[in-house]
Amino acid sequence: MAAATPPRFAVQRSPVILEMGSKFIKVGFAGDPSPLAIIPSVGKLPGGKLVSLMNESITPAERLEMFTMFLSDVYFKVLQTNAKDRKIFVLLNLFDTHSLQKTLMSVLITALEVPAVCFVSPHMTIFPSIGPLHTGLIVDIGSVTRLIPVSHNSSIVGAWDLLPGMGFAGLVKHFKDILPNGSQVTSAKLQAGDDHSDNFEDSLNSSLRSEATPESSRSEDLIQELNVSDVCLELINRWLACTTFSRSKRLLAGEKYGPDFPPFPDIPLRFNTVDGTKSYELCLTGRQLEETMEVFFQPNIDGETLPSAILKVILKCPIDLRRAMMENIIVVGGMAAVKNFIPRINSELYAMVKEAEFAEKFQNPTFRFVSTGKVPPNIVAWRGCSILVHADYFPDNASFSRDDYLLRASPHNVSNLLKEWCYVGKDRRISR
Amino acid sequence: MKSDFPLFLELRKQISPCSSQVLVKMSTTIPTAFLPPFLAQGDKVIYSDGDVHGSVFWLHFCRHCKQLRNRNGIQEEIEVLRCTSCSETFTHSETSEKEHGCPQCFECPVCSQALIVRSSIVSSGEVAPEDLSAEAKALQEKKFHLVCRTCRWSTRSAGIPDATKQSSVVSPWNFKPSSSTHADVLALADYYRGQSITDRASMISKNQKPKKYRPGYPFIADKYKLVSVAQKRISAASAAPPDMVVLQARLPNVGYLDNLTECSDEKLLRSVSVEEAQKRLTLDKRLCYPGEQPLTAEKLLPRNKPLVVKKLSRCKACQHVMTKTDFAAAHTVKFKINSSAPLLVPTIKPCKPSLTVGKSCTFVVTVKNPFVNDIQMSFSPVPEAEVMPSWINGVAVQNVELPSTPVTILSRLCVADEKPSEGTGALAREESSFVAFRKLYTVGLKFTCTPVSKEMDNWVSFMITYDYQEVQNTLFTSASGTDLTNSSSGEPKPKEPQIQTTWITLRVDMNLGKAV
Repeated sequence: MAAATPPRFAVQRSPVILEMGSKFIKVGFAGDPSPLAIIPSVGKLPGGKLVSLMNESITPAERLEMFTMFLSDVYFKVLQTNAKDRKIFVLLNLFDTHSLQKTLMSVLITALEVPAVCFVSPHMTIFPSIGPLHTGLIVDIGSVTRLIPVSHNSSIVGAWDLLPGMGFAGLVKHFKDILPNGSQVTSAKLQAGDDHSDNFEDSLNSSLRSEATPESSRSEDLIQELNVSDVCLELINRWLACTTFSRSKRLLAGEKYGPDFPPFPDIPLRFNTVDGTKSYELCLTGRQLEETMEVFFQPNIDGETLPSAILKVILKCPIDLRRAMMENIIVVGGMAAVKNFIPRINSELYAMVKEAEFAEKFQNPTFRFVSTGKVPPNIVAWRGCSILVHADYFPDNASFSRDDYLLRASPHNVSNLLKEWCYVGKDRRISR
Repeated sequence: MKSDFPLFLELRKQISPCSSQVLVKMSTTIPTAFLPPFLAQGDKVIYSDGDVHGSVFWLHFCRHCKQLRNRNGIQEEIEVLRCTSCSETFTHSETSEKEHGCPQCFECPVCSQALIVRSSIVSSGEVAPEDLSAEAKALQEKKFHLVCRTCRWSTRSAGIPDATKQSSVVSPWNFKPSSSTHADVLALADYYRGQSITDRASMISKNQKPKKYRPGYPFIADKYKLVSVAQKRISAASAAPPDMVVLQARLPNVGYLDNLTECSDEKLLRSVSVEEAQKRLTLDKRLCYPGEQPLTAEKLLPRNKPLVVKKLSRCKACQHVMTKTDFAAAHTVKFKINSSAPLLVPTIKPCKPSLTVGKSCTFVVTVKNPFVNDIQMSFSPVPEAEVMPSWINGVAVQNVELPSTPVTILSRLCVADEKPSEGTGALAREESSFVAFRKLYTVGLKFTCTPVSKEMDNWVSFMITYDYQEVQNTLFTSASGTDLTNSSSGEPKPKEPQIQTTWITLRVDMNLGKAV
């Protein structure tokens, strides 16, 4: 095979694979079963302020500077490799902004001198990481939810859907709304963060005497100060579970907890601020905990829920693919690991098909969910890309080499030059 | 093991900020209050040289191009990797990409501190430890296990069997996760490689149009070996496609979630209870194990100690090394080569001026000489053709009066020489109306200007020109061609150090703040 198409770039080392998630980025080398590190996608502005890498409100110059610092840290601290030794494959979501792609391109090629960059869409790497499956419906629940039907490894463009209100961003917004109803916040100033005491013994004694001194303030004000996004991350990681279908009906009807409707427990949470000077204690009621995940199953502003959106996407697919879509649903992304989430989607789907809107179209459907096995659902796309790159599956002309970029790119025509997505269907074409 | 759990959790809570080594490294900010004053006020004086601009403390100066360089003009690369635990160094090519971290050292899965090796004598039979007879010794065996010095974690408490031998080259422990996932990856990769080969072959054959029979001149083709080239191409295109059936049989089966009935209320409530939730790991800790992301601490294994990188930076234009650090034995970091701008460019700082709008104000600017030779510095106004640069967010002051004649600034050697900083011959004769003071290798100069604005910052811009002297020693030039001829002819002649002088011109913009 190597004789048929000699490699265009003389790079022997296995390429770097970088998945740009909106909350976490995953980075590692091709051929590995899992990424080397999962890092919060938070960059540092030249002034030292921390902002999200996906932040749209900063100037292009600041964004360039931030990405340069971030990616050079990724190369030298995490991957511990020289940037110019290896090609890089960047997994970028279909619905991400074009400016992000342009910034990444210019930083990687001009500042870090990477030999070649290839942008890959995660939708075509998810099924390859599981097995020989080429047709199915991808439900990618990250910061937003993306529903992408895939047939023979290429997406069905007319049928895909994006649900911006459902996903981590929607959850944070929903949580902000329900937080003031009944939760209690107290804050305290930590002595340990106080660096004014020069004497070491003094500071030691004070930290031994009392860890924190309570600070009186109104609970509502403190809720405003709280970093809700961090609270939600902690909730998803440790506390959150999706309530059952029957319980959610009673919850929606406003039924009170009782002996036959046992309550979710009230939970204490504790956070420190980034600079370590202040700590918050947050007491969430069981009802708030139970209602948090309902953002996926209560009708949003368009009257849509996650199950109804899934059914609509299936209906938009060609009729001969619908059964395959129903029987090969894969739920990936950081939110997919929440307890009881997939069973709940399953039971909601079966309940939804009986409604008048869908009853005619779906006759005795079977929904089957593909198991990701031992692979955590947030690295499925990364792993698939690792496999495909290791197999040398992407054609050479899918990537953009440094020489090409330096020769042809100018600030005005970068967007025309970028090769948007490469499809790895039967006919492996590059779309522009 | 189980009894130790609460302790682990407590420790983890305390130590968790440092446990997530990657996260901490990537996202710590330095509060401006902790920066030294010259770094915190770094944007007061901006040096510029063509496209490069910035505070002198954030810039570099290339000794070979004799130009200022910022981050974009510097290429960083890895010089060497080092383990912080055993101080072993590895070259970049030595560390195989599959095995990141030190092969010898491990870190505690709970608190991320380095683990130490402990040995113990274990008797295989029922022998009392005090028994010193030869038979008893034969039954005894030396075994090794790993212990954390900070928390109480050990490989024994985690149920990992002891190692029987300990070598200084290869570690007896291997805590890599099971290879089943890796085998899956390889099987899938083989399958997709096979598929891509058949795809490419079909594409090549599709593109080749059926050729018409053309009576040509086969002898010419044969003469230039074209026949063999064409044959090679055809044979490559139709290279034996891999047996896809065999590859497919090796693939992992696609599993489906079979038990999708929702869990009962009791099970659900148990999973969200406080006791259950507190057993779960924090997010930072889970993400330290990206492949498994374990929920609880039970299955955590030690990780190879991550290495630290020693970087080297080069000038992108001339490829000369600009910064090279040196690890001393006592962990102090010093530089073998350092091209930071404060070491190679005179540092200019304004003393705090009191400004009044419309009034001519005089203020003192200190200039510090970083070199080992005296320098002559002259000041000139900015050419009028130059447009206001983008980094000036204020207004330019009027009627700027700069020192009219070149100023001599003494070298650092004046400290050792105990040369009187005032009154030496040349300096006494100097026209001193604009020299406010002299202190060792620093000179204070009087500047005069008329501030313009109360609302916006007032900026003073001027050009500086100074002589940059390079001493070329024979010691360093002995490898060059001219010296080689000397050595071949006989005894190497000691060579006079040559001094090369370059005049360097930089633009300086100073922010004086708001006027009253």
